[in-house]
Amino acid sequence: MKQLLVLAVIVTIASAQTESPGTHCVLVAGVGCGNLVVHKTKRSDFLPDAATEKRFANEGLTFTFDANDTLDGIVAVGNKGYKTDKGVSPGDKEERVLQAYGKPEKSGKMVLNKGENEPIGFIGDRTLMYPGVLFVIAKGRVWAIEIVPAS
Amino acid sequence: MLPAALNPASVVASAANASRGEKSRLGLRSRKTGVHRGFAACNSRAALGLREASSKSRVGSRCTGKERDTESGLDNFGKRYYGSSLGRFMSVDPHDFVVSDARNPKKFRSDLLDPQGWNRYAYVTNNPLKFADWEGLEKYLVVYVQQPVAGTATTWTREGFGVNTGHAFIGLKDTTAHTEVKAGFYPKEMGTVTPLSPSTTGVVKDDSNHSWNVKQEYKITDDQYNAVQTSISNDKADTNLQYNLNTNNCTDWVMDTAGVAGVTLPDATGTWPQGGGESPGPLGQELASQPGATVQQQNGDGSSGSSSGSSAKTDEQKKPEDQ
Repeated sequence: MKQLLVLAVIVTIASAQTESPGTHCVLVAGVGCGNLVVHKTKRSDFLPDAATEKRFANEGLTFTFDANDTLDGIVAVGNKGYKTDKGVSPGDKEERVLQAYGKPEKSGKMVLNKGENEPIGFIGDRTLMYPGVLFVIAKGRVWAIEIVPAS
Repeated sequence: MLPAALNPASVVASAANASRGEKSRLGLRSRKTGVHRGFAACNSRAALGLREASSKSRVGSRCTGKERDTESGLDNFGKRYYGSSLGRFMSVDPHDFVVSDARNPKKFRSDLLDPQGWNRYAYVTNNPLKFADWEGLEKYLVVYVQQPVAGTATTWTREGFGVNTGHAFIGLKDTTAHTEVKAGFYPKEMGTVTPLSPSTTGVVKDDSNHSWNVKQEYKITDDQYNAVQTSISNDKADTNLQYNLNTNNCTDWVMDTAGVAGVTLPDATGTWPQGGGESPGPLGQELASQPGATVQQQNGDGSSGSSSGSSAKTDEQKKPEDQ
C-alpha cells in the first residue's frame, strides 16, 4: 500500500513537470488563451528559453511578438486539443467555422514572404478573418487558428 | 617561415576545421555553439614598441607575426609598414577613407563615428588588446540579417494576408578592391513553399540591394575569403540545391557559408506553426549582442540610422587568444 502511494506521488510529479503551461486553454478571439493575453503578456513571462518555446510548439502553439516583445498572436495547429470558445478546432471542416462565426470580415490567400515583400509561398488555400481570430483553411479543413488583438 | 603556432592563417584555419560542421543540406550538420574567443597577439611589450628588437636582420614581430626589418625597425604588413616604436603605420590605410562610397553615395562608414577611426595611421584604432590587423588591409565575411520584427527574436510576423519570416544573407567584402558581393539563399520558384510542404529546389541569388537591420563583420584571411567565394560560386551553379523552410533555409545557408571561413555563428533556432529551425529573428538577436555589431532600428540598406557597438573592425571573434 505504501509502495503504491509512493508510485502515485511520483507519477503525479512527473505528469506535472511534463504538462505544458498552455495545455487545454481555450482560444478566445481578441483575448488569448488562458493566461496568455495578446497585447499584454510579455515573452519573458512565459517563454524563458528556446526549450520552452519548443515545448509549446510540440503542444501545437506558436507565438508572434511585437517590437516590445509583447504577445501579438497565438497560433494553434494540429489536433492537439485546442479549440476556440465557439468550439472550432484545427482539423474541423471549413463549414464548421462558417456555422460558428458566420461570414468572415475578410478572406484571402495568406502569402509567405522572405523579408517584407518577397513572396516564396502560400499558407493554406485561404484565410478567413474575423475580429480577433483568423482561420487558415487547407484542403477544406482548418489548418491553423490565430488569435490576434481585436482591433 | 613562421612556425605553425605563430602563423595566423594556420591557426584560424585550424579553428575553422574544428568548428566547421557538415553541410546542413545533408542533414548532418553538427554546429558548435561556443562563444568566439578573443585574441591578444599584440598585447606584448615588443608589439607595443617597449622593448628592443632582436639583433637578427629580419625577425618575426610579436604583433601578428609580421616580419621586422631591423635596419628600419619597421614591420612589413604587406600593404604598408608599421613602426612599432611609434605604434603607428608609416602611411595611411589605403582603403576607403571616404565619407561615401562611389557606388553608393548615401552609404556612410560607421567607423567614422569612432574618433579613433579618423586616424588613418593608427594600428587597429589604437586598440591592440581587442583587434588585430594581419595585412594592413582587410577582408571581411559579413552576415546581414533582416529580422521579421527588428530588435526581437520573433520568427515571423503577419500583416493582413502577408507573413514575413525575415531573411539572412552573406556579404564578402574586399576593402582593397572596394568590392562587396552579397548573396542569399531562396526557393528557386516563388510560390512553391508552404509550412505543409516546406521543401523545394533552392537557388543562391544576388542580394546587393536587400535591406537588413543587423550586420556583423568577421575579418578573414585571403584563403578563407577565397574559400567562401568559391563556395558561393559553386552554390550559385548548383541546380540541385534543396531549400527547406525548416532544415535548410536562408539562415542555414548563411551559417554553412560562414562555416567555410571558420566563422561559427551562434545557434538561432526558433519555432513557427508546424515547424521550426534556424531563423533570422533569433540570429539577429544573437549577432546584435556581439561586440562590433551594427544595428538599425528599422530595416534598411545601412545608409542611415545605424549604430555600432564599437568599431566595425572586429576580428576578435575568430582569433584564438592563446598564441
